[in-house]
Amino acid sequence: MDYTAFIRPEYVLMLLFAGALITYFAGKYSSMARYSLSLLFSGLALLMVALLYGKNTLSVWTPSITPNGISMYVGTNPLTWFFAIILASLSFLTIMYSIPIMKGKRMENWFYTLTLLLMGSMLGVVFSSDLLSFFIFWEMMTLSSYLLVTLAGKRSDKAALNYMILSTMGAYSMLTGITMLYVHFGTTEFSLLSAQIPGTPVNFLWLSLGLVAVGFLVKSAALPFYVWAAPAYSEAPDGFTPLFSGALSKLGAYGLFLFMYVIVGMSALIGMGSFRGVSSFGYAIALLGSITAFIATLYAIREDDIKRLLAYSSVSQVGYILMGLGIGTSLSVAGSLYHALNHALFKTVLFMGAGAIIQLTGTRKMSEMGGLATRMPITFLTMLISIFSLAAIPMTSGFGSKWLIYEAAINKGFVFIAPLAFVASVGSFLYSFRLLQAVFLGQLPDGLKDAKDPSLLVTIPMIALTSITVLFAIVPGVPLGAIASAESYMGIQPIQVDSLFYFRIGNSFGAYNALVVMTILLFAMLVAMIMFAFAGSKSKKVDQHDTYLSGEIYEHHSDLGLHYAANFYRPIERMFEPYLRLRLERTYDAFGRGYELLSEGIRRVYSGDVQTYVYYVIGFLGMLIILAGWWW
Amino acid sequence: MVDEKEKIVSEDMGVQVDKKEDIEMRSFGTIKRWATKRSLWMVHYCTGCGGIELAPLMTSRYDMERFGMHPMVTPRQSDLLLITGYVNIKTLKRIIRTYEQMPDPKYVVAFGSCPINGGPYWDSHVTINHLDKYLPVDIYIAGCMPRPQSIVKAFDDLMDMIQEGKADGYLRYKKYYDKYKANQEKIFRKWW
Amino acid sequence: MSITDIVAIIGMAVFVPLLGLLFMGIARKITARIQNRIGPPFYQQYIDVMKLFSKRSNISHSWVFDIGPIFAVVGMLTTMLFIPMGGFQLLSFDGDLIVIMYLMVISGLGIALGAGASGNPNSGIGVMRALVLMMSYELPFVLILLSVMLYYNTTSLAEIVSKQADMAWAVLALPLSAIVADICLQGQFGEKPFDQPIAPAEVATGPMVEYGGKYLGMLMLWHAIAIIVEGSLFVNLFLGGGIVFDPSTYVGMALNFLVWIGLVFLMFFIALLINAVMPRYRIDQAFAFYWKWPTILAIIALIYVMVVSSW
Repeated sequence: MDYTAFIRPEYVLMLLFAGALITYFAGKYSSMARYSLSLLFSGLALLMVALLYGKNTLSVWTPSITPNGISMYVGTNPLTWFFAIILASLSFLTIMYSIPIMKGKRMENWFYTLTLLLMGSMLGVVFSSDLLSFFIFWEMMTLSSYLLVTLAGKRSDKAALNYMILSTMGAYSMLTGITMLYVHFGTTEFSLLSAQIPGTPVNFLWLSLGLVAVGFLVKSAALPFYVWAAPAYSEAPDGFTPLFSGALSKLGAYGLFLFMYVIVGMSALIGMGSFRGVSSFGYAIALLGSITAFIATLYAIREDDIKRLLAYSSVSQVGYILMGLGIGTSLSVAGSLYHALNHALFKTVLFMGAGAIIQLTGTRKMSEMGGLATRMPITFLTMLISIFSLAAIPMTSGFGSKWLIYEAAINKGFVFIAPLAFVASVGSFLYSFRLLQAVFLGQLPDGLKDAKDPSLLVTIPMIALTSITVLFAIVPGVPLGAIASAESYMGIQPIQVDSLFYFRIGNSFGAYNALVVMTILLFAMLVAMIMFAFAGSKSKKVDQHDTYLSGEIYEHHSDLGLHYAANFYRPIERMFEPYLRLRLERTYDAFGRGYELLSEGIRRVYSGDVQTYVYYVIGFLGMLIILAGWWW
Repeated sequence: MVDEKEKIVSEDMGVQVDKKEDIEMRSFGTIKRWATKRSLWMVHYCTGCGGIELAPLMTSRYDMERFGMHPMVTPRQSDLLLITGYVNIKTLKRIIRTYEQMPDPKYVVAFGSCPINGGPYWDSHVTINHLDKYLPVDIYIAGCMPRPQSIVKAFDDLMDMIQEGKADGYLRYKKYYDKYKANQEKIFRKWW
Repeated sequence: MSITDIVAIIGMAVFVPLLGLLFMGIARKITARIQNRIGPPFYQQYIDVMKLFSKRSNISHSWVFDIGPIFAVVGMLTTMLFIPMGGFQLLSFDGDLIVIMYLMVISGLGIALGAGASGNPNSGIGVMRALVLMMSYELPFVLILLSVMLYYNTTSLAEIVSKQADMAWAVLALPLSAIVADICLQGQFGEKPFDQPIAPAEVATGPMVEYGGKYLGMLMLWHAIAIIVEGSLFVNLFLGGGIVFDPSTYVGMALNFLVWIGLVFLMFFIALLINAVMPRYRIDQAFAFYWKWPTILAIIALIYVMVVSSW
């Protein structure tokens, strides 16, 4: 039987939607069936997406649904595939990870159904090739992720509502933009649209693209809209957060790629106005991205809640993606796509580890943990490498992408974006070390003496993602090859990837040779290890309380605790506090209160008293008479 | 609680000195001993009045950095424990704690008459009279207070002793660990 | 890569720590002379390292604790090989400035990990201060790097060095940038008034509080390499990498190398003189200082470069 006929995007989507339904009913009867079915469906979908590599398809998958012939199209291309493989593999691994994490939690069955639904709609967003199906899948994705956030119970209601309100706002704005495009061009299919774009009035493009971009900026939690991210990420169930932050936040960037480079196209974008060879629209996005990266980093430094810290970090890293996306040169778009991949890899591991730790300790406050490194070595090492990747240490894949973005920004001489990005990256050392220090290092509390690594179902996804991070550090050419073809699809000059040497990325401006760096690191590691092993005498292990306390005796002060984790960055927080008090949340709250007052005022007009209404009618009639008299 | 702590402490330091260690001691190596004596980092436990005598020692008058000596803040980095002045039972616990946190080889210099025989506080109910019963002392400096010159002389002697391999207080502490411990426990109502 | 390259790499890996230790020894001597003391002999630092490695017992808190000194040496050795050192350009043609900036972080994060694993509150505070200090001086320093990179229109350090040989040294072309970079260098060296991370009287040498014996010995080697690397970064950026003679002849190469050593020492010496007479800032004062005056100066320098280069 020729199975290749079934390797088509529409079958992936149908499989997942059907799978969600089947899992729901089967899961009602047996939890084993629920786990195995959801793993099976997501794994099968992942396999199909992987086999789509290198295909360029476009097909109508529904009959014409309106009289004037609007149909829904799905298709794959290099850009689509790049995002689809990230989304599909993360969804599969997250489902695997959720089995022990979500066991016995509230509405467990719904979790798997909704996750499959979310996976289907996310893949639908990237596969859809017309405006209508794009919007439908987009809304399905928002709705299923909203429902997933609410699964955590009452405490997540407010966060989920915030998320939903902002998403709805973005969706309306996007719908307006999409409708404008449809009315103007009379078609919804992407390639037909992009063929008609040249020669369109600039003002129309600014307006429609701006309206659409609002929806994407909301989803990627960029500057004016980031307020939903921290509460929603942190209050969502632990099984869902890795997917939420790792996969879902990339779709905003995907949408911008799609509308800016595929539909509008580079030349029309430049035609909308340019700044040093970069389109003004892109520059605005890049600026927003860099400011988001900086501000979210400052917020992350202050957090003691592990999930909120990672959430702000996620907002900040997506800022980098937007930065590279906006600059729009060959280097920066490659960096942006590469960073989307890297962020998916490391942030998923971090949220997975955080979820495992939260389940173990029963708290989200990092200052109540500590010393878990020796008790949970696998969790520690995977999270450590992911944090290295987050902080862009050259041993990991995360360095390559940030390096590309910096090079692009410096190359263009953007003296505002580049320093902000760099300082935000230094800030990421601060908050990621806070996580390490508070959770894994320092003093182990008595209550966690017999902590252990989580089960294999949790560690296998973490190890898998971490090993990819390490692998891509040595051969950045492998992901960059896929990225280069996505770039040429978007009509941007593809980044140079030498087919023989997958190790060197760079251009005339600067270069980074991953193989040389890794070789030297390993050489230096060898030297240091030999020095450590053979020089001096062997070391003895001592107890964690046997530490220098000015000769003081720990047991006399054991109630005070030695774990330095609470208020870790107090001195620097004190410096920022006056500025951070101007939170955007307050603006939104004030807006909400004002709106409520206004509504209250309008409500009072309808007093429910018939006499008042009679007065209104008389008043209105009187006004009419006066107006009529004045007219004549 | 008490038992557990005793175990940790004895794991840390309380190994019996065996033949291998003795051989190592003799073959410690002239160069290594020379390096050790020329780079004595000290942690000073200024329990009493002696601390004031250290200031001229460190500053330009007597400048002990000439010999590579340097005050250090943590016992983990130090080679020399300087006990200046009287030692009472409460501080003795801290001193022992500090001493046991220092890495081998380590040396103790007792400073003034109080650690030798109790000095003016010989009949106090809270001070101890003979420090050597609880910690192995390598060099005593007599006087109340000893002048900086005599401290420099003591350091000079200590360096000679290290070069000759005679400063073996830390080995004595290991060898007679149970006896030292017994003495310490006799005066502490509760160990930690 | 030829056999001479490998010999040169190993030779440098041995030579640079020794040079750094010598600098530290001379530094102690100079500080002593400023304070009207005689001071230790200039080779005191070698004795200290020898003693630390000959300690007969070492303690370890866990395997994470052991990572600290290993990563410190690894990170600095790697960074060293990517930096042009007075005509010796070992791997520096692959050494992009941004790569170097991030490689320099490895050792710091390694020490932070090890220090955190010791479970001592002092080391936690020390690491916090070190990271905050890094964030403090990094803002003006990045602006300065940007000004240099835009002025010479490259991000490669080797390129910047060779372009300075053709044009004037950057310290003459961009004097304001050089001043700000020197202020940042004070923080990178960790000399007063920016020695909050180790501040012996406050946090008992901070991250190093639990490290003794061979661990401390390795950290001392790390510090020795770090002095050379950080000084060399400044020399390469602003003092033409010490290239004054014709590097094609052997005599010229040797003289260039000596000039480079002299210039690195000069930068260290300036930091030392400030160190000897200054008290210590509080960490938030250091932060406020760096984000105020050096940053304003750096912005002015950057604007100057933009005006000049667009001219």
